Amino acid sequence: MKAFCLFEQSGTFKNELIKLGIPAEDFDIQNEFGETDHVVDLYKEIRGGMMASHQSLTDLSQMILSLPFSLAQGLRHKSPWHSGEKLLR
Amino acid sequence: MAFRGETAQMKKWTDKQKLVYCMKLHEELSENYELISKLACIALDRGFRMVIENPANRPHYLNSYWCIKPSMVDKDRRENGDYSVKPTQFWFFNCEPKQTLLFEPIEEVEYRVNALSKPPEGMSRATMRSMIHPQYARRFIKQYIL
Repeated sequence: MKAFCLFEQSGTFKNELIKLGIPAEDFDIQNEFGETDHVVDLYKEIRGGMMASHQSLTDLSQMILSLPFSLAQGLRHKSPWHSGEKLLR
Repeated sequence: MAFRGETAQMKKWTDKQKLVYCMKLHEELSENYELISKLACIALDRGFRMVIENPANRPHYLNSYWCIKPSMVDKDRRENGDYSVKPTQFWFFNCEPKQTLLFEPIEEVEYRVNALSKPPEGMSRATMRSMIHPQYARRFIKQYIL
């Protein structure tokens, strides 16, 4: 089994998985701490059907830890998902 | 507050400025909703196990407008050794959260109230708010995934 960690703080989970003996890689559009294995535009990859260009991710037995999946990262403004707003009535 | 046009920065805006801004916000919201739904569809189609995490503040858009219910909610991350309480919800796809008991001591972690704590040098407040303590990550993996 191999784990893939996506989005922010993916490195934290990747490191802990590796310490527990589970091979893991992380993916993020940023490389804030200089430890990201793959710097990719994840939103673009998702739109494209999930990393079709990354061969190893076609293995169905892989586990994907989308942890944390902070969609607020994609917003230039404060995410309404985290603002406690009721958007539609 | 942004959608209601009630943020501090919007006080002096015209109605049209607010409307244009809100349309952009809603467009981004719609795109993000589509992305998370597509990610879930891909996981379900391909059959790989996936865990998605998001804050569990109430009300939350995904709780109100997503057809997938969270598999579990962690109401207090401090209990598992994280920096702050920060209620968090998790969605498990193609698997269920396990309920493994851990008999390990929890190391004391400095409590952070994100609105008040000063971020470490070179780190933004936004980054600090999103940080997860390695102890929490490790315990989460061992309790719910392995």
